[in-house]
Amino acid sequence: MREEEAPKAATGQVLLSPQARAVSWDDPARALLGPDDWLAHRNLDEILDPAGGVEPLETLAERSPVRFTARTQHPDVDRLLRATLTRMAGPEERLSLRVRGISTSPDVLDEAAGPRELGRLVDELPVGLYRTTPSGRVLYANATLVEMLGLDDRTPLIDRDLEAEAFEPAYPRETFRERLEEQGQVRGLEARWTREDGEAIVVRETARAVHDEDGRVRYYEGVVEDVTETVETERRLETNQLRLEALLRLGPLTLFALDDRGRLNFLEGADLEALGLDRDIQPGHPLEELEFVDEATERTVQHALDGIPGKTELHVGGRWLEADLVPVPDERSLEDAVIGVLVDVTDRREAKQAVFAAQNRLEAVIERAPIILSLLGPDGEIRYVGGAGLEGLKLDRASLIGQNPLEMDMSVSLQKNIERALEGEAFTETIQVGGRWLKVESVPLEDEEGELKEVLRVGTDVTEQIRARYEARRLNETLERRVRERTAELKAANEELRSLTRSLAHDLRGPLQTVDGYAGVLLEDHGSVLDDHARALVERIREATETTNERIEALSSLSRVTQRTLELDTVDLSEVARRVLDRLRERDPDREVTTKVADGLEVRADPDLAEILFENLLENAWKFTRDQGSALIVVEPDPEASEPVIRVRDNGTGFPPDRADQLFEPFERVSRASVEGTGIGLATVRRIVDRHGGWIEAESPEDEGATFRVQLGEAVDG
Amino acid sequence: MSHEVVLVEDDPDHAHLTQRALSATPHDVELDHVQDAASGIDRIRSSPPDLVLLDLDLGPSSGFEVLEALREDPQTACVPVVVLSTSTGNNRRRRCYLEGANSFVPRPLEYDELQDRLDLIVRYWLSLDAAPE
Repeated sequence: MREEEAPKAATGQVLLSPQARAVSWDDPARALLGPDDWLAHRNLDEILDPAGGVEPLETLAERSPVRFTARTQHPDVDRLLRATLTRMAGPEERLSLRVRGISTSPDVLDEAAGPRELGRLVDELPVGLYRTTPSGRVLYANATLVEMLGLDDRTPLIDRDLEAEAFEPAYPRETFRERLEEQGQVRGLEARWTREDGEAIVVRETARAVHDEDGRVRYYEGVVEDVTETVETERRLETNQLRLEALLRLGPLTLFALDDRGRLNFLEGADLEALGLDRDIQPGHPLEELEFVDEATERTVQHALDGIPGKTELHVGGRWLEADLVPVPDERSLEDAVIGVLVDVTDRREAKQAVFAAQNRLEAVIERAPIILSLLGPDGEIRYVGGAGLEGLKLDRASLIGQNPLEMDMSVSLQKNIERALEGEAFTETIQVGGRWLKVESVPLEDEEGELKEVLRVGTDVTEQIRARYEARRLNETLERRVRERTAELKAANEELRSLTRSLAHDLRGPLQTVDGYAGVLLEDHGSVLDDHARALVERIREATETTNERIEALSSLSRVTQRTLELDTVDLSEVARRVLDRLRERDPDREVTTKVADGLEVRADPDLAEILFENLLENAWKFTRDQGSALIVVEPDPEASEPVIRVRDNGTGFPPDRADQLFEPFERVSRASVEGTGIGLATVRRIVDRHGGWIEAESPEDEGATFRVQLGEAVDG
Repeated sequence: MSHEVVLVEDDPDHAHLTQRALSATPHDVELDHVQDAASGIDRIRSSPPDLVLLDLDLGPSSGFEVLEALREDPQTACVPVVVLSTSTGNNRRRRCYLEGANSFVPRPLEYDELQDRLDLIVRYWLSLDAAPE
């Protein structure tokens, strides 16, 4: 026997093919298992003799790694080994076997392997062992089984007929027998047992029938394992599995897992197709082969494999996904090294971008607006301040955030304004701040319950407007004052003119009376010695004085007309005209003049001025028809006019058309014929018409006399 | 019977013409002419006439002075006063009446007209009107 004292720490490793054939091994393996020629191409089953009924390869099918105790089957090596069988990562699916020597001490061997020890071993195995007759009578039960049943010793059990007693009514005896017949053994049959103390346990049974040479069943023997906890765990696991599947089915998550080499072990979720991911990805699928995996993602995966959780963004199938990776703690030795979740964040991203864009836009607008915008919290602390109005105020915006304006030094009016705003009132107020006028609008922002969350304040500098307003008002007042002054001046001037005219007229009358007087005296005293010619001369002196007098009267009249205030009334111009014509007739009874005055010529005018107007117009006509044999004067409405116009026409001498403009100027004598006329009369008429806001026109077609058309403002519907 | 008429007129031409016009009328009138207000008041006080012809514009003085003085004095308060004046403004006329003038006759332009008016005045005030003594 080769008793090589291999160092206790030395572990031998054997690489096996997928079929569990030894391919390569190292020195420690050789020492623990056997020489090269013996190991070469030998199967695991042939190399190792596992203890405790473990079937390493079969167990490996379910999980990796598998740990067990074993001995090499090589006759020359007698060591108890601790073996670990692992399925290796990689495309070749090799197996790795590591072996470590436990002990070489013979005492231990005896102790462990002696018959008494073996008996104890059987009794105290952590699983229940039994032998029963085919009908169910217990032949043997180990201590563990007795304990499992909640009994104190095996006495009650022995010789009990399990079937007859209906030991366990729920016991699937039929299933037991069927399996036994079909497969020759029962493996892992689950059953519920009720212990003596009433507690329920779940057991798994593995049993077989032992036959005699004739093939008849001598007894059943089996192993029972208390799997209550396991079943519980399994049930929980199943529940979790179901939950996971539901979660994945219902989305929006996609779950994935990577092995310790970063290959995809698992990928499941509701949106896989939508994401363009193939459901058929096999475990062990290398990540790099997925086209959407970029450098950043690979880095994050690497970090996760090194134990650092992380996130990364992927662009897959037109959507944006966020992968959240969590490393699985090493100690668990599970299949997955990294577990992760994929969430479709496209909408969130787009929303964020939209919000960002909107915010940018808003800020751009705010910063360009000529306002000062601020947001205050419910206690007044500044949460935001912005706006182009801040330029030139030399404020450090950043330092303002968080400050409470009420704690700052400020004018009383501004303080009151802020306090009012913080009470939740919406209002606009114009206050003075630092030499400027600010129009501040406060808007309370409340949540759904009406609680004040923030106060929005918009301030506009209205200093210029207010100044402009003051200016305008001041200007207005100045202008009004000037207008009043001018008007007063005008009035005074008019008054002066009036009184001047009056005194002039008055002063001239006296001398005129003297002139006429003496002319008369001359005729009286010396008329007899005057010849006709001399007498005629004296007459002319007297006529001249009369003319002078008329002019003075007309001038007085004109100044009076300019001066007085219009007193409007409904005036019947037909009556006025007739009255004037009657007076003219009275004064000049020798003349024969045909007059026609239309009825119902009513206007709104100043009665006195209207009278003067017609006096002048008709006197004019009276004078200028002096030379006509059959003089005609007509006062009528103008048939062609669209508005009310009165026509005064005569068949007198008329006036030359090129002098029409000068007609209404004072002292213009326009007629070719030497017919006396003061020339003031028409100026007066013009003045009266102007004061009424009307107009007057004169026409004198060749040899047709003169026609005056007058419009005196509004006419009253007769 | 001869009547006394006092003419208060500062303009000599007007006074001359008035005298001539008066004398052309068929009335027996003794015309006394004074040229200013003071003289007028004196003359009328000293011997109240039957009629006073009063001009308003007496140069430096005014006919209103005369009126006032005459009407104050009970002796002369009832002497008929006819204002004969070139100024014909309504306010002046009003004042004349208010201050006690009995009549206002505007001085006409024409001499003939003056004769006619004086004739009427004299006829009325010296023949028709029965002024208290």
